[in-house]
Amino acid sequence: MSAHPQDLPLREQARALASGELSAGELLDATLVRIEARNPALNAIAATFPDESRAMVAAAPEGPLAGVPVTVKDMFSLPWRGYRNGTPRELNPPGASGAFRRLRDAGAVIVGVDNQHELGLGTTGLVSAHGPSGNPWNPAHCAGGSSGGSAAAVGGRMVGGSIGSDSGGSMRLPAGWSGVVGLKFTFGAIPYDGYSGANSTLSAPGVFGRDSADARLMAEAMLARSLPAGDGAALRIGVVRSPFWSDIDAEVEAACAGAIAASGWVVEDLDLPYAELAAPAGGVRASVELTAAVPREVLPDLDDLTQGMIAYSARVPALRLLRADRVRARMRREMALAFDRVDVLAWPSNPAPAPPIANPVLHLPSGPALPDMANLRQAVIGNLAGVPGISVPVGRHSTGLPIGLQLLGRWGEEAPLLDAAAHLEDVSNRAWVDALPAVAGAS
Amino acid sequence: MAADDLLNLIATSFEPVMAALDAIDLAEFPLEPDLDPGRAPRPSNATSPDRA
Repeated sequence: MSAHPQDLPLREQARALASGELSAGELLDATLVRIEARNPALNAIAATFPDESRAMVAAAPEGPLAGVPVTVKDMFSLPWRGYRNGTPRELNPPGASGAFRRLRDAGAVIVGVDNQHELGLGTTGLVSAHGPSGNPWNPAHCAGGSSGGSAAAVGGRMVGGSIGSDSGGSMRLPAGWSGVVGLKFTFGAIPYDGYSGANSTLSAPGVFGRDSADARLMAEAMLARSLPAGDGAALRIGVVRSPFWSDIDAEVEAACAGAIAASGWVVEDLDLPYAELAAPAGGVRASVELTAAVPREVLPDLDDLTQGMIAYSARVPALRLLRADRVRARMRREMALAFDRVDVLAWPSNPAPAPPIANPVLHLPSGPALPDMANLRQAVIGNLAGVPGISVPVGRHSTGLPIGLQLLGRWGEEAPLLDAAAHLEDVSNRAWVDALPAVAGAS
Repeated sequence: MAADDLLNLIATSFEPVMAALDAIDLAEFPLEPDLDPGRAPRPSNATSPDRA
């Protein structure tokens, strides 16, 4: 095998291991070398632990990911490392979290813990005890957040798959910016023990892959069930113009609209009443839920901005939280009504491409904007409703940065989202999922 | 930046967005029987069979 094994898709790594063309030990060693070479530019992986990874190789059972290296966001405890959630300290004791058990039982080898936005409280990945994560397509730009490290690790071809978490878009947003497929599961789809998201009614784990087939393999392992491929060309798509297609960068809008037009899908324009209230309702809920369980003694160790967010969240008026929940209930019902008419809802994953780390401002038609609220507007309705969502690469901006299309599906129906993503890959001749990012030229 | 200044900065960024939420008429958003985040959203706000 002449190519570096991490240039192979995840599924090809699994096949080569199963056939004996590649040994799990060789693959792990090559992966650690690749991480050593590329991670300094991306800062996507916060920690590796070769001894524990080698022990997983030795103990790996037969399974769909037998011997395949993956990384895990810093929100899931491992037997040798409690989750830190992007902070300098362990916030949970070491242990076999539900996510760990699903990966272990599928035979996967955890090779690293991914960098992330501190406490999951941002969509840029800039605030972290480990420093910001860089974008695989231009490391001077944000990878996204909060699962930015997990997206960049896959986009930078350091691993073929990773595990993230999404409480307000934290998988779909970095997937869009970093040019990978990111699938957020339905709320509660895997055991939440040992997972920081167990503190939140909005949080759901998910998987990153370079394309939909790798994401499907990862998702089957994590969900512990088969997700058989269906006909991704035969879906009914709902397009909600307002607010999700409003105030979007013109190139992002054109790429997403072009992908839908090329799909041949039956498209229906839909209204989601009060959808413009999803961002403030989700923002209130997320800020309170993600900060409430942080031990007070940890606060001095956190970034100043995180401390400010915690202080702001602690002052949320009870009446505002009540209003947020009333809006949430309405959003859940409106989403369920929409899914009576269509299979999937579609709009841009991000309102604009990833901004520079040094100046994280989005340039929208309405003017410059800080990323978090603009990103939240695109994503958090999926968390309010608890439904699965995916971001699929569908284009490249003139800045050279990726563009993602977001699709939301019915509760518990992850497979049609993967089918839709596969269809988008087919009709684009895999132009966006097979393109090599800038960092791939580094080694 | 001092803690109070940071708090003010965050509030300045978030409060204009939150204003829309603060302005809703609660009568347009009645109590729903089904706000369990662990259950599938339902298309009707009628009481679900298992809670009737």
